[in-house]
Amino acid sequence: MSAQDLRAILPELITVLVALASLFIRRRSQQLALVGLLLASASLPFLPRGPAFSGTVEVDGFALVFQALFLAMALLVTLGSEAEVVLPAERPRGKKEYYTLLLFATAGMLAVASAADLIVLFISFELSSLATYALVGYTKGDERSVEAATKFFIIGALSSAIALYGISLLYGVTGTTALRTLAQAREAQRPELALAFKAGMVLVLAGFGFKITAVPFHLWAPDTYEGAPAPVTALLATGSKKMGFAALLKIFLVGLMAFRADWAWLLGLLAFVTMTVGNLLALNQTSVKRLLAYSSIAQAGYILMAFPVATAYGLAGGLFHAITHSLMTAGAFLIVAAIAAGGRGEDLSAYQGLARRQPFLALALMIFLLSLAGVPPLAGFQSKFVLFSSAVEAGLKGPSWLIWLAAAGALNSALSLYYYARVIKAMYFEGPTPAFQATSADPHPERLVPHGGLFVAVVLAFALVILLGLYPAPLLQWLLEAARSLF
Amino acid sequence: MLSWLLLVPLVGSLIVWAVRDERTMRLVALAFAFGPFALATALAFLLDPGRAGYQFLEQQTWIPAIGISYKVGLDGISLPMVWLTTLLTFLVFLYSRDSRTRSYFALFLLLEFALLGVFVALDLFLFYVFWELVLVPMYLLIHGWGGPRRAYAAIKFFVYTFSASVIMLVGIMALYFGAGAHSFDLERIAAGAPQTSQLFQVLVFAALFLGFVVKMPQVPFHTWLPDAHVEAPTGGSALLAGVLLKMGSYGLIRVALPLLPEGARFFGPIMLVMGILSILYGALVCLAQQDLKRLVAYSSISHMGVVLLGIALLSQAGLASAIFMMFAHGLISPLLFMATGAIQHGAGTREIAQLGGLALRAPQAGFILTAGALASLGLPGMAQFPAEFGVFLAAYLGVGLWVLVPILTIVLTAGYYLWALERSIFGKLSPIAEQAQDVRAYEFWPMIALVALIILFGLWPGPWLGAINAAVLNNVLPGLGLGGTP
Repeated sequence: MSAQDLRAILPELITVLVALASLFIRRRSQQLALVGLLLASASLPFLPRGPAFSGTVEVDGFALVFQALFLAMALLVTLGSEAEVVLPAERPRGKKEYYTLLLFATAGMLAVASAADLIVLFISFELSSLATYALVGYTKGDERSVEAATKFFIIGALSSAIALYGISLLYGVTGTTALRTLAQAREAQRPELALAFKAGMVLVLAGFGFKITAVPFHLWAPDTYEGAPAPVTALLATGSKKMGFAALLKIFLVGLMAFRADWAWLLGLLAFVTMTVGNLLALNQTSVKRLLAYSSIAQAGYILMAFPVATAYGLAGGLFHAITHSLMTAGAFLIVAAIAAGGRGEDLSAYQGLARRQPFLALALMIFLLSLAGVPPLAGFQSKFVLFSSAVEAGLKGPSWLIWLAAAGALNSALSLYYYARVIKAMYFEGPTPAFQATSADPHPERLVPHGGLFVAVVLAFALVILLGLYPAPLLQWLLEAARSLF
Repeated sequence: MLSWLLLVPLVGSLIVWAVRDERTMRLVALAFAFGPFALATALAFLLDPGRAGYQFLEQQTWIPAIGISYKVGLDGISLPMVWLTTLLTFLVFLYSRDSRTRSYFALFLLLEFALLGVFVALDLFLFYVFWELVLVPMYLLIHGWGGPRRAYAAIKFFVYTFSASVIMLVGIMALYFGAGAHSFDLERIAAGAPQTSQLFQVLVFAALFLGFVVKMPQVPFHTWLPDAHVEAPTGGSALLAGVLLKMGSYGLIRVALPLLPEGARFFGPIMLVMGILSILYGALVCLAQQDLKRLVAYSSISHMGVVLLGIALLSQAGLASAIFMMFAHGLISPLLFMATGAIQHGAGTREIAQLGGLALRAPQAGFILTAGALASLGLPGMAQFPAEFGVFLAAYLGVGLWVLVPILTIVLTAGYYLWALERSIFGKLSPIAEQAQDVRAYEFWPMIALVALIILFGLWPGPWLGAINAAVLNNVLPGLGLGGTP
């Protein structure tokens, strides 16, 4: 281990150190977390490119994209995690643990992004997962939160075991856990080992597929998303889910690229089923949080399209959509957190007349939802455009079913517009319900504005969604370069 | 200059939103609606109809990594649509004086911005962005200021047309990669796309056609239209019928035909049958309507059928007449929607059966409705006559005596209009008509302006037709591999 090695994991080191420090420093834990995350972000441009720790860690363009995304999401979530949002009165002193856990979760994500070895990848993945289990159950007094955490933990532990078993099969066949070596492994071509190798691939896919809420591994997601405190939900749907993508992209597009013919159809099918089922189940949800949970499942289906496409352009599309989806979803869940903190709950009826009570929050939520549906010229449209067009390109050159996958994605976007529009309709065209009128006697009917940090986080996400929609060129250029570093 | 044309309504939309005082807001909105109209009128005089290609070109790279640029230009096909959009927005602003909020005017200006963008975009990506952007303000307008079933109509309009256009988007992506240009620039794709294989062209044409035909809309993709039209506020209906429907036929002429000639030839007969079916179906359904606004809505399907018929012939005369028909219908249907809106305003109902004898109490309303109906049934001397005449003449040259089928529908059209007029504004005075008020002055003058324009372009279609013919000859027919024979 040299100083060069340590420099390669500088962002991870900073987050872990700040996480530990915040356990001992009693006050201002939120500000401390923010400073730590900003420091980690500032270190990104100075990381030495290339392998470190004897090739188990590798900082490349791909890793940097994901690290930047994870840090940005952790920043947004930290900003949005005002004490009142996540911590009801019964745990006034629990603030610092919350931010410590959040930082540990982030450190795990960062390490997944730069891992170049299956074992490092798995351990980092678990570090992040364990922290998120605790975060989901953080509001101990709330039954839904505890139930959500239990469900999340049991399914998460099972999935990890499956993924680990898959990794052990891959190792058993090829004798290596390094992704670059795995890519050149000849043993997998031997017929007597082919079955074990394929089983390993499928098990890895299933194990990590849980994290990205790919159907049929999605069953935990709606309940967990609904029960967790809203900022934690935002972290699950953005950072944590994208960590799953980072892991799968590394394993399949680097380690298993040579066996593309074996898995392309499987991931294509997974993409199709995930987007369709997610959208269909979202149609009838009455809780906005659940609606967003299912929408987030559907969006994972779109990102999955990048796997069977497997070109640099397609991967750039996948990364782009991972980024825009994170921004839109984080923004939307933080608004949900704000409404819930105002004491109105998460039901669709709580959003009736929001345009009059909170014009900015309503406008921002409308923009996030339209962007999720892919209405131009918002960020979600641009990223879907790159993603779908990469599928069309790959379909014109190779297997033509990819064009149908793009068409299915496009039609799914139209389908999703229906339930997004339901929320817009409630906010803009439906009057306040009697329930609301009763609470409006409350001396502080709008307790939303004082959450300064949350407001800032929403404004940031809102501005980025519009900006990336109007001028995506620099980001897209960066992502294309990052994607080429993998191929 | 074209960027200014786009910028004025966009900026206007934001400013109108910010103005709190209602009187000031109204004046500001009017000023921002007049600006583009004045600009478009100037453009109409500055456009040189004889020049090939596009004029007032502006280009700026936008997303270089995938060959997307902001490129706008104008020719004799887009100019009438641009002028129409600015004219109708201005007239609608004059017309909607009562009880409208600043969001209403702001959304209208946003809608104008998006519509103008569709007609001047020369980059397919930009075209698509504007195309979809149209949906958002229209959805909010229908939902915010519409009739009793507005929630259903608005969401149906939004999801129905969005579904069709995402398929169109896949077609556009295929064009991008298939034509080998790796650019969304219309002119650069036009250089490569016509050489692609017939199968590719037919499939891509099918994807584009779906997006366009749903917008027009033609049978059997028309079901969103009656709902949206009937529930939309009058101003919304006027722009919906006057301009939004034309986006479909415009897209066919601008994008699908010149880029995919083999696809166009394959789909020619299908478009022909679809157009004739829509003409017939729209007219027959009109006969059964009880609601004046619904009647006007269905008549739009019938008249857009004439447009599709003209396009389907793939000849210069057919295309030029179809474009003129788009323009004429763009003047006449907003007039009819405004007239029904004014009648609803004055009499409280649009039910044909309850309106008998309205002309006795409201002579101005009667006059306008009659003028609109006569124009819409193709009376010589009014704008739609030369258009329909041209389409049917071209159809005779193209398909021979089959042209009698659509021509006979004119009789039906005359029938349903005259019958509706007889029952609603003539005849015995009904109790409701007795109480009715006549058209208000602020509603009257915008409509009179439209009547005057309809007569002007009916008597003197020459200049527009000259520009349209030249643009068809230069910008559409070469792609189709046809010479300039009429």
